[in-house]
Amino acid sequence: MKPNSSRRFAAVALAAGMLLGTAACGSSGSSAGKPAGNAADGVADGKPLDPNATVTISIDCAPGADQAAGKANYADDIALFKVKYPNVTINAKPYVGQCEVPAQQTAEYKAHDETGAFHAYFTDREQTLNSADAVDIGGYVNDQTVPGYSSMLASVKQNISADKKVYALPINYYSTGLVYNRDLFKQAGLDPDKPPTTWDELQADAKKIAALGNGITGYEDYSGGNTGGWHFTSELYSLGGKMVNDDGTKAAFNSPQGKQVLQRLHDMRFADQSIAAAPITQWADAFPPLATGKVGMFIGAPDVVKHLIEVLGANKDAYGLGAMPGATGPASSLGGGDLYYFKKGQTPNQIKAEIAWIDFEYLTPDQGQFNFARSKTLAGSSKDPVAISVPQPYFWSADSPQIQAITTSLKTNGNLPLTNYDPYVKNPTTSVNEPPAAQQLYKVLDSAMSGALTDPNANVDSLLATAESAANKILANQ
Amino acid sequence: MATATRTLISPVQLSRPRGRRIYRAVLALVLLGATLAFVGPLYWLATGGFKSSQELVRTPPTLFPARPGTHAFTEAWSRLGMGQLLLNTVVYAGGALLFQLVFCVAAAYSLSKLRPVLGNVILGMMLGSMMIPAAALVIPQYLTVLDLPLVHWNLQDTPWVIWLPTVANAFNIFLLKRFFDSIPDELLDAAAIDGAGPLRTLWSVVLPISRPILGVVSIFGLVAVWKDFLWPLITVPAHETLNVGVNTAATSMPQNSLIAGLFLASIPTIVLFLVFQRNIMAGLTAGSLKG
Amino acid sequence: MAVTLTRERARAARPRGARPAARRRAVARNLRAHGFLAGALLCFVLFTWYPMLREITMSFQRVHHGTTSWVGLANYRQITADPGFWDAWRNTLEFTGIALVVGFVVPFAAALVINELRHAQSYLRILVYLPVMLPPVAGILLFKYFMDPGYGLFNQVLHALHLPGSSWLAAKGTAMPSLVLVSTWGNLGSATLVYLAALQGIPGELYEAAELDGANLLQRIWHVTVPQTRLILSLMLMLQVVATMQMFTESFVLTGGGPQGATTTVVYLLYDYAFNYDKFNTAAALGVIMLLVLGCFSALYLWLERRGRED
Repeated sequence: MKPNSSRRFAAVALAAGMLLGTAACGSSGSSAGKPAGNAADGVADGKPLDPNATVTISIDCAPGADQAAGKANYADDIALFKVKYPNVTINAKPYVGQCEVPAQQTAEYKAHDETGAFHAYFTDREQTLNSADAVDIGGYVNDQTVPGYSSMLASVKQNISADKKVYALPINYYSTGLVYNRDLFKQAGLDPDKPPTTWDELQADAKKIAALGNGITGYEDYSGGNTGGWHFTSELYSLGGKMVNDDGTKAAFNSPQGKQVLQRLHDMRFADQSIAAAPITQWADAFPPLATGKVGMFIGAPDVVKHLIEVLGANKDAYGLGAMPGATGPASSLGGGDLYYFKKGQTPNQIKAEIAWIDFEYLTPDQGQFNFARSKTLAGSSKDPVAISVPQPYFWSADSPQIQAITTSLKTNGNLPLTNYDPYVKNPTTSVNEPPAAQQLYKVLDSAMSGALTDPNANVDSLLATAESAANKILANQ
Repeated sequence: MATATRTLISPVQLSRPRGRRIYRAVLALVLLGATLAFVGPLYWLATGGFKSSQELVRTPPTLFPARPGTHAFTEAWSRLGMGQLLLNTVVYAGGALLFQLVFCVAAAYSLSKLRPVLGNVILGMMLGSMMIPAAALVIPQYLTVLDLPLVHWNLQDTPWVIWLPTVANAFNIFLLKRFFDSIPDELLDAAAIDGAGPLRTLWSVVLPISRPILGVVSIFGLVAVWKDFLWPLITVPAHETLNVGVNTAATSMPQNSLIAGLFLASIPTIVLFLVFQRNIMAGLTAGSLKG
Repeated sequence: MAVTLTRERARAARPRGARPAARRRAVARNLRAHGFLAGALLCFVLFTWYPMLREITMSFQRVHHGTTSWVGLANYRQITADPGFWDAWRNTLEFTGIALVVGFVVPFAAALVINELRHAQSYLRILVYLPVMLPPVAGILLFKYFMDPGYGLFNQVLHALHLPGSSWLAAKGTAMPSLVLVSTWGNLGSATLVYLAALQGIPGELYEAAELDGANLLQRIWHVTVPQTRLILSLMLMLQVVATMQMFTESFVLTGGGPQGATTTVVYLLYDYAFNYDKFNTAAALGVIMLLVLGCFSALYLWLERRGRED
């Protein structure tokens, strides 16, 4: 009578499933309110949120199950925030892995399903504005609601606004640098305090590290999933090259600099054998080899170090940060960052509350992400690894009171060997913007990177020529 | 019995000494090869989670974990949110199955036995959709579920977005209709004379004899939801299926936890399959379209 | 409508109302029948037929900052101008081609062998079906480890046997065959079971008769087994082509479309256009092209199938 019993089992499971399903159904959906002229909705008067206002807001990209430390900090911050604003309810949507998986972000935009404040990368501006879901918050942000707003770096301000309107608040900003494994540097007889600052040095150092054998390689780089083209762009910029011509109608990367980027990678992979054979085709795939000490160097931002330590459990003393190598020394390159947009159709009080929360969590020294004293306490009792923030170019200039306060706090509370990051911190570089149709160009250059890194007989000239003609067609058909 | 199971090679040939030797050799080879090919990877998966991330990428690889630890499993469970993923998947698969059974059976019954006007045209149009690659329609389908025509419901991130589209499955309707066609009309007429309406007839005459085909349709329905990737990836990002969730989380875990997670994710269906394999196999065999 | 109604009334005026009653019964029967059909029909309308029409209209439009406008063939020009478009079709055909040879022959051979064995049949059946039960991503990710050119199990085993290793997913030439291997491992179980069922339906007398005619093993396969399972074989062939033309997950999880774009399939490109480049309408144009190509293929199949039956 097995069929019967199995059927009954299935029926019970089904019934249970249906109930749970409808429950799940009821709890989803955004909580964007109606723009009614109600007094409780507040007014867009450029003042901070009334501490007594009753508001419910929603925000995405809260730390999820894979970031024990971040999750605990976030919950603690919400509690602290509620001391000042007791009637604000924050519905925070957690994420696991990468917060913005492109498909899911696009899906959210198409569904107009964003949370009240919604996360995006600097590079998503075109797409976000095209969704017509982001509201101009120019009337809300000033030095009163976001202390230090007017003294933010020009390069940050440029990324949060468009057409002279302000759409977002930044929560993270970086310029690319060099992440390296200090232990491997020592083993290879290199000075861990002097990472390479030119590409020639980098190539030489990588070769020495690869000579350690045992599956260890000197350097790794991307070649797929649009990350290959992304890194190509970084490296091209670091040599002073350009992706497109000045009016953005033609590709400009088939240049001596572009050739140098690919030829060097090709030589490192096949002549020096200082790059591993397995291509890295997705953003996250670069990290396990770094975390297990199999790779010496990688072009990346400070957040990579944090990821290695907190998410992949790597040794927190092992990593150093250097400036982006260039032709003759540290060079400017592609920058990036994260920010929050604000959804259209919310009440003024909701927007005010979201700004207040983002300011508290991400933009106030000694609070939220800069509350290093609290992180230190939590780290003491946590069984999961905690990396108390690595320094990076925050949103203000180095001599601003904000950066002064943050640096002081880091020195007393940080649990990472800060001197490891001196080569990066002491060589500040500026950041260059992405090209137009960035993702499509990256895809085209994925192929070029992939050719250089996987094909022993690759001809760099023809790889670039092919990519150039593809890119020109794409740019002409926008 | 011997004549009933006569296959390509005659029993006579097999019972000769030479035939027997060759048979033994082939049997041994097939058993060894199949076990290596299909159980081997699962063994590696099962033991991988007990290794450290460093040991996983060691050369040469280790057959047994050097220092077995279960940390990776607990970490994988909590980081993947495996309980929630499993629950989501069960809800999606169960609901989809229910909707498919109810609507596809009703439709196939109507087309086969009640024969409405334009029935054949409708059937033809349904079957025509079998020729359409699902992936080619994913864009407009997706925009449709974001804003359902006329009623303007947004199904994104609700189970409905998985449940309802599975009903539009021409293959199921085709299988069911063919099976119903083979049920003699006299049987239904007898029920009708007893005063049974079509619903009663369906419930107490047709369904009981259709168990095998219902089993097949159920398996196909469950497996389809269980295995789908692109559709759940874009439509239920906040309540992911196990299949999609594993891929999302793969980006943020130490390698040994990831392997442990893959193993944990594989257990439920493997166990279900091993427990019900007799029924599943019987169903698949009986229900397969015969020439 | 009005005409029918008056005729109806005129007839009803006649003393004996047998025909209207029959008609009423027919209408009721039809209503009931359509009632049974309604649920499935609605789903087909919403999720298949309407999207098809919508895809076609979408492919001639574009959306900018929330406003839609007609753009003629611009989306088609955009997609065909992308050199990746032709590469994607070439890659897809390559996958389909290899997957057919491997994914068609291997399960059929497996079914033939299993069917001949007098022992362990059910064990083998369970074995081949096991991978089908895994969440596909789990099976696919597993191969990422096996196929690593450095520490991967495959190359380690090959080295142990003093054979040269392969680059597997890491080189342009071997990436696609490697994906076929992954996909075949994961899917051959279901095809094998279908073939097994078909093989078991072949009457033994046919083999006996062939044997009496002096047919050897291969001749028996060719003249008895294949014709007897022809319908299933051709149906599976067609289903498999349609399925493999839609390959996406394996590339997405394992190779990100690389190396050098060698595993970017048509569906992958469609996904990229929609979700990475935010060009839904261009993606729709690609969808329409895909519909046309596979539609033609299906029509060709049906025509050949019909001709084959008439012969």
